[in-house]
Amino acid sequence: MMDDEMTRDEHTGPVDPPEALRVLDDVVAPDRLRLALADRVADARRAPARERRLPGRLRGVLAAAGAVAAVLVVLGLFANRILDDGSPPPSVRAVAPLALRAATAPAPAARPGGELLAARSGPIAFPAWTRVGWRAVGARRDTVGGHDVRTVFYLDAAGQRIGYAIADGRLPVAGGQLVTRRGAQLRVLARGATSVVTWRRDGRTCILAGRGVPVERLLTLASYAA
Amino acid sequence: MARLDPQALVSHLDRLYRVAWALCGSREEAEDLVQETAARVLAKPRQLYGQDELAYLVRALRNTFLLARRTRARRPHEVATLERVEPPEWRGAGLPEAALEARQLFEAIAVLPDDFRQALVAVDVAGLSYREAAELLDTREATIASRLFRARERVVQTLAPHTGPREANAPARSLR
Repeated sequence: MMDDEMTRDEHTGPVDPPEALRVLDDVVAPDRLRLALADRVADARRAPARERRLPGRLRGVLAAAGAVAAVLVVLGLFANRILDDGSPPPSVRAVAPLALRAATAPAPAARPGGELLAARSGPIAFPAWTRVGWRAVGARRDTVGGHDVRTVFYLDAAGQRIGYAIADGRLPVAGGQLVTRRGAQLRVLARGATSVVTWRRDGRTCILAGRGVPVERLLTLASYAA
Repeated sequence: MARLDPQALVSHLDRLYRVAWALCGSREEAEDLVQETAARVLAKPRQLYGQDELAYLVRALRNTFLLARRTRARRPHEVATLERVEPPEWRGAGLPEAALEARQLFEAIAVLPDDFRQALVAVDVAGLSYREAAELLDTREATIASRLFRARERVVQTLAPHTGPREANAPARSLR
């Protein structure tokens, strides 16, 4: 009897999934992804409005709708911050893996002069580092515990890859080793083949990380950026 | 011709995230996959061509996944080694064992043979109809039904390796 049912199940119409699979229905996307996506959607809604030549009245309506959407996003973020109130900010160790992840956006272009890229986190512009043997190859943007984290990835001629992440805020960091290079106070964290150098600048937390990259190379780059 | 509302990405985010996780087998790669898909979809206005929004987005996600897989095969795999060990984000409260079960379930789905996994992800994770899944995977509904049956069977067996075959095959049996 059971075999008959299984045969029908296999070859005919839809049946409900096994109960074991229903556990997936309760898995939700993390907040950082939700916020990043809301940002992308808001950007996408603004871009066509700028590019198309719409009648003035329609343009006004769209601008108002965009403003309302932006206010809603800000209110949503604010509400999220309020709901998160009391939870500790993410640590450097929690954010550092982002600097080792894959890029989700193309590399930012170099700005005139070639020293800096057209990407920044608040007042800090990302360096180009081409003169010291690295080139930007990608970027990503995340939100972790309500903190905006921007990352640029670099590759050297030997194919080694590093990520430079800047979080908007002073993230707690514990352990590691304090090192001074060219007057900059840096902290080195390491686990296995992964090296992380972190420092503070302009009220932000900077994180430089790489796998299989000597700590000294990271320290040298960090001393340029700190 | 109906256009895709960009807001659909936000509306269907949880489902897309689950689909991405089931395809990749890793929550970190799933986040990246959803972001890459969003970037591609939002790059220009998209026509739905009669498709449901969800079906369109699942197709875009799958295409991005296949593209990324081909690209990744040509370069060294990057792993975040300072990984935090976190349970999945969870809608319910106080159910760590259920969160763990979800993680194991995603892992079990990720190791299915490709055809089986794609059918199960399309129907059971994305929530597409058999017809939509057949269109997405360019096959017949009967094939979807057959692959889905076998995929479910394997997942249940993977999660309950010590269960006897007849019991493990029961389609609606809870593992909890």
